[in-house]
Amino acid sequence: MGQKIIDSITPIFREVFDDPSLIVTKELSANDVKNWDSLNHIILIVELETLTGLFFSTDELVNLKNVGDFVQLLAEKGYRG
Amino acid sequence: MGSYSFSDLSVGMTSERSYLFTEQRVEVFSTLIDDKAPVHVDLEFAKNQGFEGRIVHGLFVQAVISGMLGNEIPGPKSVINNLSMKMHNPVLVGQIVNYKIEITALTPAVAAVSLSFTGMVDKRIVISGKALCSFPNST
Repeated sequence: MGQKIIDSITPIFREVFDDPSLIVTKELSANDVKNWDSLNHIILIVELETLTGLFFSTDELVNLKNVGDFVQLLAEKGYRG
Repeated sequence: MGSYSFSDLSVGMTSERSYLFTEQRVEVFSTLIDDKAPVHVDLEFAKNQGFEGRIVHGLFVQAVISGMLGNEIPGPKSVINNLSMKMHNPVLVGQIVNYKIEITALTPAVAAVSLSFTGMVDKRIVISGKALCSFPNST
């Protein structure tokens, strides 16, 4: 299930960070992506809410360390990819 | 001028403004960005291209939206993260564009505001687009 979610959110990561070849993995974090700054982070969250139809709280987001944590959050909220 | 905080905003809020693209304003904009393409500054050239008159720079037509976002909604406490537009019809020098922006979504987790906007000359749409703004000090 985790990989299915990653596959569904990968196009958004590639568009937001302007990197068509970006490989999204559970281990990927902001430190690994050149354009993952505070402004693009906002765009990323807005686009992910639009894709999934889910809403996130600041508290939920602040503790996420990498994509794997985010995928787990999505799964807990019922998103299946 | 609005001075909203993120928590003051709601989906459906709108703001409207009319802007007259005078000859002087278009001249200043042309000089400012160093774009004196003849379709903007040469009436005969513009007519030979099939236009009724000189046309206003598309980015000038969009720039008014920037002012509305920064001064009205979301207002001075916000910044623009993303702005996209489509030009539907040319705006001629001397025409008035009636703008409307509307909040379409709020993303509290990152204090972001999604908006749509349109610009009309009479009943003809000339520009439409979307904007994403955020409040840097709200999260």
